[in-house]
Amino acid sequence: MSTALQAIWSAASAAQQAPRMAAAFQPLLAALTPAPATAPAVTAPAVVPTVPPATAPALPNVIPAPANTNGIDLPSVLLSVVVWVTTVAALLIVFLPERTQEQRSRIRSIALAAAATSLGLTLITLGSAISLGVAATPDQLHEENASWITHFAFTVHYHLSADGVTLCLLTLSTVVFTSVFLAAWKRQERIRLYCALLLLAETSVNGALCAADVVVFVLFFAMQAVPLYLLIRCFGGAGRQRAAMRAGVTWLVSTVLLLIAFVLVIVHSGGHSSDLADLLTATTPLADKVGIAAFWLVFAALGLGFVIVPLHTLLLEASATASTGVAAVISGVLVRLSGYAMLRFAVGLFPVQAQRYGAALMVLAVLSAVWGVLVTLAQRTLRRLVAAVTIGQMSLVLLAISAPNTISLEGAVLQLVGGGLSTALLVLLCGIIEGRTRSAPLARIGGLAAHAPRIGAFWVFACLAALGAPLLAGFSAEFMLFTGAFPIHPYATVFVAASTAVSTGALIWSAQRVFMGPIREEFARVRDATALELSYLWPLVVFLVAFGVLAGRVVPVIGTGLTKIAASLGAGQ
Amino acid sequence: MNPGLSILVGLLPAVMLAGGALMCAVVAVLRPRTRASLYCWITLLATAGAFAAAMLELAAMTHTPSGVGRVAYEGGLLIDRFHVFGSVLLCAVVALTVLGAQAYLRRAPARAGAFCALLLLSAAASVMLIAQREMAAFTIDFALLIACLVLLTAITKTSSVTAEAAFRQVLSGGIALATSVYGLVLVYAATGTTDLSRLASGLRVNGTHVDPVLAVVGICLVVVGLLIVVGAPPLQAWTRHVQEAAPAPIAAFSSALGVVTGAAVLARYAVEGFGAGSSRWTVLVDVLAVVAMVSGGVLAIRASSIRRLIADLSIVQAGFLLLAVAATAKGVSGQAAAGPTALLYALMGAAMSLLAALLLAGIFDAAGLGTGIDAYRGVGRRAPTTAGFLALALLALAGMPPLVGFIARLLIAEAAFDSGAGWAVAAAGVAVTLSGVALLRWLSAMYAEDENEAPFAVTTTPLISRVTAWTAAVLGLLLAAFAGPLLSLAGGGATALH
Repeated sequence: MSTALQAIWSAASAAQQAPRMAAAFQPLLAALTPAPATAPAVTAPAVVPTVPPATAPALPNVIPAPANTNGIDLPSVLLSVVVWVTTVAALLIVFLPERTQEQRSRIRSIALAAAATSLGLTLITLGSAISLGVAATPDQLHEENASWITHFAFTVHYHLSADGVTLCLLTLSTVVFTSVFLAAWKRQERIRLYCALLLLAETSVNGALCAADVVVFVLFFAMQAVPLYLLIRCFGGAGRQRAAMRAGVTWLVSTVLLLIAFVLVIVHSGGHSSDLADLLTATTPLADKVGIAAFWLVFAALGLGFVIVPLHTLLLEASATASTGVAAVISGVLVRLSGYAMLRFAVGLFPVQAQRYGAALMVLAVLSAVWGVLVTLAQRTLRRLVAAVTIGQMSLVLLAISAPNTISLEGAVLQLVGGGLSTALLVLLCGIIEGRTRSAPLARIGGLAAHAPRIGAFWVFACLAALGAPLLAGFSAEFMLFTGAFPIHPYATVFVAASTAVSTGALIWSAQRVFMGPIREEFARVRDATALELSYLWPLVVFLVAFGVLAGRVVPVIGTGLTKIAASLGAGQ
Repeated sequence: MNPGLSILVGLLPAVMLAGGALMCAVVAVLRPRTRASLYCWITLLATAGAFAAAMLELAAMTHTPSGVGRVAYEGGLLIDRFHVFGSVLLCAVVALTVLGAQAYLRRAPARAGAFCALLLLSAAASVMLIAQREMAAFTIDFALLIACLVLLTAITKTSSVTAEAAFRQVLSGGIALATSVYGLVLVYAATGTTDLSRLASGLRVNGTHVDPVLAVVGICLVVVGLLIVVGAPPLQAWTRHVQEAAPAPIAAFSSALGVVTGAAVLARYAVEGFGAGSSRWTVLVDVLAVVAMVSGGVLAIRASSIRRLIADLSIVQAGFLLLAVAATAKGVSGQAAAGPTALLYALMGAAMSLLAALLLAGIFDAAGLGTGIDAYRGVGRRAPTTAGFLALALLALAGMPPLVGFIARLLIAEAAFDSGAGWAVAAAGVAVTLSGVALLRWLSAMYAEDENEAPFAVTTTPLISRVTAWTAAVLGLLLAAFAGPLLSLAGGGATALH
């Protein structure tokens, strides 16, 4: 048994050290991307007089980005564009009328264009990071760092960076939001408010993902509360009032807990800075009690959005009540954002505490997984079933956090991306099916595949993706996650793996229930997926396959993002 | 320079404002039917003059690292960067109020002279108050300020509601004045001088030690008396009544001016008189801050009218300001916590968000919309621009990101933590959550589907007033975006406190 495990472990390590195949593309992508700080300086053309670095005027409060190949210091604003382009679009939309069909189309087009721009820039960055591989330290590629709040007891930096972990989550976020805007193409009522709020939500998610300063992170993280609340409250279904209030309060409480934790750390670190890098290298080590208090505060804050039992009902209710697009964002993106933040801040900032309380986290992971199975089996509607499966998916991530090592954490990141994509796909499919069956309960639906084979095929594909079928993102994720966690928590890994199999198995059963068997009379005229519906389903499918097939090239990039966390974990041991 | 002239130059901002008030009063008496716009111009010119005078004072302090320009009456009157900061902020409050009060002045042109004169006079009293460390002069300025604010509330003679609010304000003001005077008497008895800064040294004028019991009781009474102006417990009731009953510009001005003056004066006395970080007063202020934050948050959740919501959120805000005032003890790093800097930055945000929220609510009032939550149902659709700015102002007032209220609360929380008031920060977290919940309730009503309510037009308010209110709301965002340079200014003001 132990020999077999050793073999799996070696295989996973070998996958991490797989040879890079990006060398052929490196010159082309390097030309498109500002060189990293460690790259050697390129000689400028003779006709352009260059200023020697020693005599260059110092820019106060601004840390310049790496020089580009022309010898001119141009700060990269790529991440700022990714984050803020949606806010600009939201501000534009707010002042546009929405009386006629043409005006509403204009609003939808602007929203989609902004989301697509964000997606396009993210893909360019991810592509360059994958091509450059681990040697390029991708977190420095498009780093933006400028002092924002100074002349106070501590400084806050407008510090955005995108390492491998961030880029993968950023891809998830921008893909899902773009699909959601496409899904809203036929929406007529209050399209201006809907699009503006979704765009603001995208800004907050993307900003939180890129933030490399804890205050900036909290700022973006908390910005979700109002858009999220209004999106559920104004566009949700039955019970939206209660669900919206609970989601809003959850986000507010999370924000307050995070703020208290981070202020505690800033005050006691002695670094007089809220920059993540400064906090990690703070001269004064945190006192034991302070570290423990801050760790649990951060854990509790992020646990509220992480769907951990017993706090799982808050966001599950929201995703089950909200409109389809908003539910896709909640289940596919916001829950994963909490997972990302857990990795980045709970584990990254408090490695000693994360390891010390690993057993407690493991127990929570097992509880979540087992309870998730029970919750999943008890659901009677498709949307709730999909929402319940999220509990199991996130228990996997929690298991990885409870057994933090490079392999399990890489698997956790892939799981966040794969799980987010598959859940968003499932939720959007739920919306399509609900539209055709008038939100009938599971027990009353059947035989849809006869008239809607494409929807059925997409549903089965999404179920397989959630289950972790080979060649899809979930497979590599679960394989690495279990491989990394098993040596540390063997029984818990088996429990969680089995529970996840059962809960995602329930999805397969739902496919059989909804699409197979004789067609019911009331659904005899159900239409198959339209071209518009296919347009927002396909991108999610493509990325699920891409992350699965290209896992060997994505994982090393994720690994570079986890370097600092792994180093701090090593130091904490 | 002649000492008398020197003091006059030092007090030039107050003199300008008082001069403007006098001019308004004279014009109103001699030419009762003068157009309201003339009073507005006089007010704006006086404010611009006061601003210019404050800048001159600042220029004179360029080479004084301590931040102190002029000292008179053996330290009783202090013209420093802290005073300049407060004066400039008060000038901004006056200017925005006058520009935002055009609808009110059109409705009641006969009261324009008195309105503008009282605005300027109360601002002059506030400017003087921020420079005072001498007990007798403080008492006179304090009484003048309370009298002006009460008269402003009572200016709408035909309304029984405002008359009642003014009467309650008189009662609260009287109690506050009596309390603070009694406290000052005790402090005088303890120190043997009317100079408050003597208290910090712990020695009487004859060199013996100050009686600690007498000093603590005196300090507590002065603090409680000053809290009426800030609008914090135990004398916060007037805030709610005035903000509900008075016309929007008057409510906005009273609240904003009260917050700025009260908190600034308290900070000066606390740091320079009572002793920075001394537990003789910080415990009381922290406790009162927590009471203000939590009680304001709880009340805000139940607020059924927009004015009451703003009043309750302003009480929460007052609690945060008190927390900043108290955060002056030595921190973890051995240096004093940055409470005063956080306070001055927070004051900018507090004043602007209060002004914006009340002026925007006033626009809806003028349009004939009720003040209840039902009346606001669907305004996001019926008047999207004004509703959007109102939402922005309320978000800033409640401390939601990414606006100035959030940044200010963050800085205050850091300073409070650093000075050892972590327990108060935990209560502040509860208050922020309660405020957020209250706000979400209102936002959901504002952006709910309207149910064919009667139409209304915000154009009943002149464009200049609407633009002023919008500007004040947008300042909530800009003050956050440019927090760095503004904190530099606030830090300069705070370093003058010794």
